[in-house]
Amino acid sequence: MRVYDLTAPLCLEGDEIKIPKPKSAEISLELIGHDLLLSGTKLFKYLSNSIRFELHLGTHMDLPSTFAYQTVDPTNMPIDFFIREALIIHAERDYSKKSLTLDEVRNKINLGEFAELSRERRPALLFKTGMSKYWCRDNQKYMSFPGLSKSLIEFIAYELEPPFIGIDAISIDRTIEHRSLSLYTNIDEEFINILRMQEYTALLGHDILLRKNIYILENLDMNDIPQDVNRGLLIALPLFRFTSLTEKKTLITALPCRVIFLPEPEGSIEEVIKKLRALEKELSEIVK
Amino acid sequence: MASLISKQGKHLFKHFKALGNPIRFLIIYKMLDGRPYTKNEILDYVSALSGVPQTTVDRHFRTLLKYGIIRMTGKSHSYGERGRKPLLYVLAVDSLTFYANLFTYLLDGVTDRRLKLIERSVSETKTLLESINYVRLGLYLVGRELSEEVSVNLSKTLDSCISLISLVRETVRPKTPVIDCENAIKLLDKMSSSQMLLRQISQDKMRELLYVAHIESGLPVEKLGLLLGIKSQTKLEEYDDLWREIETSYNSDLTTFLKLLISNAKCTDVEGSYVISLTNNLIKYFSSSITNRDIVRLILTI
Repeated sequence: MRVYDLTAPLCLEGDEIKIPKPKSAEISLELIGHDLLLSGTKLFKYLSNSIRFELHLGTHMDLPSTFAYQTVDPTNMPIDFFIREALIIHAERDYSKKSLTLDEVRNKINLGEFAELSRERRPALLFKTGMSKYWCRDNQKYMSFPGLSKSLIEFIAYELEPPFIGIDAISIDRTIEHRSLSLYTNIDEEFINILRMQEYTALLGHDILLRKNIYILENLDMNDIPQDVNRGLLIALPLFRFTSLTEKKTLITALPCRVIFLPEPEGSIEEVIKKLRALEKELSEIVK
Repeated sequence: MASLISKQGKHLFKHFKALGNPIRFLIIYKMLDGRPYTKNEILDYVSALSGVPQTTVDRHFRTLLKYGIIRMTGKSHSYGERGRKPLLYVLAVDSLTFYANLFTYLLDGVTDRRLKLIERSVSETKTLLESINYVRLGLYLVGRELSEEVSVNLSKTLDSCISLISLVRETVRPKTPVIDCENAIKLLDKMSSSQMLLRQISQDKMRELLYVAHIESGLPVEKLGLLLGIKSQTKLEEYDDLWREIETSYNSDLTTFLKLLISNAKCTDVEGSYVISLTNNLIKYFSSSITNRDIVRLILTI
């Protein structure tokens, strides 16, 4: 059985972490030790790194608190929330012009798989756009992902309502600072039209999903996943575990994640799992 | 006089007075399970049972509403005949407890306890869902190391569970009581394949249910004989003759009996209504006897 690591690596180039422009991260090497007070010499020395970065970097999960919706306390989230079945939607194509629309993926999504389960038991939905091959290698291209269309996002938010969605691109929205015309030689006509119609709202897709409590797992690395794998177990564990000692809580807006994917086992076990899934479907209709 | 009677006493009079009329008695008995009903459901049920016109039942219904025995809870989710959402009514909380206690006392604890059963089975179902999650997680992680034999056994156990649980869904939450014949046949098929379920039902009870369906659908005895696969030389005149034939030919094996019924059943008008009423009666019976506890045990043995 093969286990896939979907975490996007932090690429080091000398002393620098190579990441797309508006985001920043620093890494440094330090010598840490105990001072011997009398003589002033250092004892028990060891080397350590310190990394300074924003939480919305690398593979991370956006929480509703990103837009100040305090519907969930990330310090209290149960661990099984992050371990669940996931469906992979293969949508690899050239994304230099058009955003991903609902028509392209509608026939790949079975509405029944979501609607028949109670909300907390629904599978996660992952989109494989093929953009992760540019991560670290061509950051300008990586940042130029045009996002998911509004119709697709509304379909996810109101029809499917998965606990979280994942994507192997920088964001589910196109962001205005990365798409300004001066940066790009090839003109994005779709975007210009949206601007002209004055329908552009920054991070609208994020807002729609997070308002409905659907988390967004961004910046996955799905290069290795073959075309025929479209279902499996997703383990997207947060790197850090926070607890609050005081009543006043710090707002945590994102959770950097280590994401592992186990494709559905084949053969007779696949059938057993299918039956368990059917059983779950029947049972969650009773609980609903 | 009035001043000598306490408030509690007046309350008691009200409750007993409500039972004083057979029609009101039937209305209350129907609503004793604590579920919300639309007015039409109650009127249909009571007037069919008592043979009294619906307008009379309606008058008694309104009386109960006026004295607070019944109260309104909200609107139904589905649309009614006129395209509007009909109102839903339930027994008020104090009358529900009063009548439930009274009937439990009078009938030696044999009242309809569907509501509690639903609550219990929902919590059991939740624990069951958790255990399913763990089993599945384990299967993913163990992967191909499981031997073929083990997975085939697992598959067989699950097969029996699935049919059982889909039936439990019908019994616990009969949102749509079986209306069309094909669904009824499907459900009967599920029932016939589950030994665990059939163990719950005695032969006498089965006979009773078959008889009730026979009365309700108005299917003639000869046709019923054909439906059940009896090709007898002697003429079948009464239901008892038929039952004797059944007893001798199948040797009280319910599985083959139901399987024959399913294979013979054609969804014509009369036969269809027979199958539907039989299935509905079976569901009603199971709703009071089946729990999820057995199924939980079954899953946990995996």
